[in-house]
Amino acid sequence: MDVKFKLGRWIIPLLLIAWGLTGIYIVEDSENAVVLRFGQHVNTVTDAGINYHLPYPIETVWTENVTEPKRFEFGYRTVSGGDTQQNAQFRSVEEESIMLTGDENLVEVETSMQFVITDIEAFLFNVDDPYDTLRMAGETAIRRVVANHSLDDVLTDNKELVQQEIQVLTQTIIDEYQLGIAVRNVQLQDVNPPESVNAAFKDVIAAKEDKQAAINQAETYANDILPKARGEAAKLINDAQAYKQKRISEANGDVAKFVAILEQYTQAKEITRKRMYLETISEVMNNLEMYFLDENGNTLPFLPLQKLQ
Amino acid sequence: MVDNQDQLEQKRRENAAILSEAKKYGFLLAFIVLGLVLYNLLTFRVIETEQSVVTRFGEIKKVIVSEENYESVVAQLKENEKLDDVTVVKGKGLFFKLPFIDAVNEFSDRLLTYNTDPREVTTRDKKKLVLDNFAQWRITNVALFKQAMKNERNAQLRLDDLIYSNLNKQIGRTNAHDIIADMEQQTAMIDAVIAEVNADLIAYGMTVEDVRIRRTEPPKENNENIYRRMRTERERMAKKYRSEGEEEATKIRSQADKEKTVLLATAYEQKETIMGEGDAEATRIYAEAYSQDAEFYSFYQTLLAYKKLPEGTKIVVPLQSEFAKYLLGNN
Repeated sequence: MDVKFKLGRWIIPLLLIAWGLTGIYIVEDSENAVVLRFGQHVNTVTDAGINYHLPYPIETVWTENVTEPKRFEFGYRTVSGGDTQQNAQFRSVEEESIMLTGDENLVEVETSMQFVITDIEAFLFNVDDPYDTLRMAGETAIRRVVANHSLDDVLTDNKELVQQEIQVLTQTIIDEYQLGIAVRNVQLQDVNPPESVNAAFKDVIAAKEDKQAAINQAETYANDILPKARGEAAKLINDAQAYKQKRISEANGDVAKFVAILEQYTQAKEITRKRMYLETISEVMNNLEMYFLDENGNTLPFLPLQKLQ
Repeated sequence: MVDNQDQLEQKRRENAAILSEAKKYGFLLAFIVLGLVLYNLLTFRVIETEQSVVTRFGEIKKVIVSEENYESVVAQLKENEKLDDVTVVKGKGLFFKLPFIDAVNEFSDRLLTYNTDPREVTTRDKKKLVLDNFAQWRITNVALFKQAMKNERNAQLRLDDLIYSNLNKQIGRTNAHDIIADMEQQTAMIDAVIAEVNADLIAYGMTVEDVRIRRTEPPKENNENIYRRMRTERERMAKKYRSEGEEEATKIRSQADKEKTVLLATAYEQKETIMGEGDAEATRIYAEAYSQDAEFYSFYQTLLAYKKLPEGTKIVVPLQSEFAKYLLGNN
């Protein structure tokens, strides 16, 4: 009886303490919190740590992750994130991704957008559905910017600029709404011509390569025939130079010989002449069949005796 | 017996103490419960994202609005003869009401999104476009809003009527290409729509802050035409690249052929020149030497000619000739 009676005395203070303890809350490193007293905003907590608010229904706390970058996908969805074993898988969302370019072509644009909450008060108090609003602003900006550029700009030439413009425009729109969000990064993931014209686009790339191939082949041909021709030309000239030298040297040789003989000859003309004559005849006689022609026109063979032996 | 009586007395006193203690805590507990009930009956909270209207038997008595809206709400209500005695309170937090008599209606004090399904519109140049727009709006005067719209759903319908018809009107005055690609044109168009819509909405305590065209596109049926155009355009480009390739290749080949021909011709020219020089020089050398004694030269040449006769050559020599004389020793 006594024990029961003593417990009774403590029930209410214990309940009060328990009630008071419900006011303890923790703000993590990545979080910010706002404290509402009877719904009215009285405090914003940006430092991590253990905190206390007056227990319900006097005060309540709303916390929000503000450092972790969040991500939106436009025109595609990640089906599975992928890991070391498996690649990430994506799925296109055509209604979102197909859009019109400034030169009135259609293009498939897949974009990712990273953002963080920068102002928790603005984020919580200003806009009814901040995420959906950001999504709409982002979608608007992507289409708006793509529509301001030509197809080739978006596909290849000016991707950087397009990304930047999307980021700036999205930020402008959401700043207007005081969304409390900063767009950190916009990336054009995949920009492709739509499926049914893809083949034609690929063919243009193939044609560019064909062009280069044709040029390369022609250059190969040029690189083949020109050195050969240069070689041939050098050969012609070398041959000619050899011929020239040969002619001159031979002439000099012939002449030297002639001059030497001429010298002998001038010293004793008659006798040298006869000697040369006889030498020559004796030299050639064995090789020749000779016939003599007499005054009457008869021919007589000349038989060298050596031949008969 | 005395002992027994004492014990009973003791017990009685103990029971009385417990009873009085229990009574004390019972009262406390009842007080807390009563306090909570009264708190709920007598007060209401206006949280930071909301604004409220307090009605008494359907009649708007009090509105609680944010500080930014306060001035304009007061001014607007003063001009409204039905609402000129409504109390306007600024700020959020805890407020009192009369239980069972006052009813509290909460409305959003945040920017609200109005979103529609895509719809087809016709531009000035009679092109069909699919238009998908959204708008951001807020309740700027909760008393007027409550009176005119009752709730957000009705407001969305009203917005739909106003925005769509105004946008449609503007689009009818603009060419398709400008709507799609001209950012300034679009901004001007939107600003005009916002101005017109707000002129109507002010009476309902609403303001549209922004209208955005999310998509403007030709209807899907047109896509095939666009694709066909894109395809032919690319085919043209591909053809151009290939022809350019051929052009370049032909240029390079013919250039090479030309160089080859020129190279060989030049070489031929040089060859002939050099050979000519050789011949000329040889001729000069011969002539110079032989002209020293022309008669001996012809004699010498004759002898050389004999030596060069091939074996077995038949020759006929006149008996009177020098040759015969030498041979036969007749001299």
